[in-house]
Amino acid sequence: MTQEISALMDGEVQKAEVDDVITVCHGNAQHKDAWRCYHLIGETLRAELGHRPGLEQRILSQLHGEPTVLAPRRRAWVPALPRFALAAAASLATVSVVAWLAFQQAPAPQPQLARGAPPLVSQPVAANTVDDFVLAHREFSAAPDALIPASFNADGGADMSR
Amino acid sequence: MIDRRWVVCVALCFSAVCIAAEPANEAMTWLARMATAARQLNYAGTFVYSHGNHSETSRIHHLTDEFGEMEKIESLDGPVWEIIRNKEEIWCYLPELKAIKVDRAQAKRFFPALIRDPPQQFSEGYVVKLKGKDRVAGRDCQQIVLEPKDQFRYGYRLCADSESGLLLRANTVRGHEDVIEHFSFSDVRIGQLIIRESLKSSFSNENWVRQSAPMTGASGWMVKNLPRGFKKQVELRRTLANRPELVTQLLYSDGLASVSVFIEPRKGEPRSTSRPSQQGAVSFYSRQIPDHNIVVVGEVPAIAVMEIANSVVKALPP
Repeated sequence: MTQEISALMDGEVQKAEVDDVITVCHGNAQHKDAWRCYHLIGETLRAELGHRPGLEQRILSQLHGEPTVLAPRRRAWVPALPRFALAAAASLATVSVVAWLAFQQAPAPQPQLARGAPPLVSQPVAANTVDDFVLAHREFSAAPDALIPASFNADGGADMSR
Repeated sequence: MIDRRWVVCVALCFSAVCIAAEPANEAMTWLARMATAARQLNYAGTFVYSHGNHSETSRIHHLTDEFGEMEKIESLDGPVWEIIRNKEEIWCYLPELKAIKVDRAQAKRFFPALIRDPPQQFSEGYVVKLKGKDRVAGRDCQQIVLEPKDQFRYGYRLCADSESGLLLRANTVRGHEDVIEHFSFSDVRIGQLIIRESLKSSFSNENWVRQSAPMTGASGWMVKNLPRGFKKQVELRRTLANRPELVTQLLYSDGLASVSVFIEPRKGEPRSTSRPSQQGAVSFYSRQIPDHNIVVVGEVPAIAVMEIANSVVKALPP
């Protein structure tokens, strides 16, 4: 049942089952405790609780009295996931565009570059590793601009939190 | 005895009729209509794409004539770009870079052609249901929802033009109410004459840099436990920024959600510990195995990219 409670908190219970889970959870003191406990864990992790004097001591003494769990449950709660930026900031834009041009497989881009484009600076690109893969994947997504190198949006707002 | 056979026969016929009349089947018919309409009709309009607090507007012209399908999409806000697409290729014109990027068309989907045939593919991962009527861009439309059958994909809410079946609005939904991606026509004309000549690029691309599509080819890598309904769309050997070696990219899709698996050769020790990250509809997870980094990215919940990354194996030598 604890699995279902944690799934409910994560919003992963199918609509039709939500009522059942809530009913079962409500009718049992142990499940109610689990519900409260999971919320407490979530709030603590998100630093939503104020400082509680003596809390560490109480947790430590309680942990002492508990058996060690060797096979932790798969997921009781999901901490807030770290976020990544899709694209580099404005200062990186030019360099990233150069990188984009460079890593694409151009049949014979060199003569054309030499004629028309501004000189390319060969320097390490401070692009985020995550972003390279996300961009390479987004080429196949339905987003209309996903074929455009993100750093092409060179006015500084070009990240996924835009 | 004969009587009994008759009863069975009549019962079977009756149940067949019942199944045919089921709303689920009607919803499937709507998916098929959407796929056909997006491919076969002429249409022109303006649509908005948004995710998070970002939104952008594009103009689309699509025609199908005796030479096949052709489409032009232009950005209306932000940087200038144009995409010209036919059945085989996508040409992306970037005037500010003086560059053209060419890609294969088969694995890339565009609005309003998000739904492709056959509609039965969606029943593996989704419960497909008809909902009520709505209105988009001044036209009546039929709502169709695809509810995920498991935790490995998001849900989709679609609205298709009542008259023609063309998809007018599509939302990617997390949980019950959380819209994480949104496509919607703000204005659309369906079925009018469009001249092929008008879909040519507006840019003279003399002396532009041209990037061609990455190579395809079998790598010998595979995902052992794919979430159900996901199938491989394309397998690429490509270069990425700052990486001297070729990276393998396997693209999987369940018809709506797509996931890329990247396999990158690595020399030396693993660099960092693995943890999933997420932004909007896109989840990311990487893990290290001996000599290789596995990176999985997709418009799916974080649990899906983790599951997929954890079941990548080398099946055959390349």
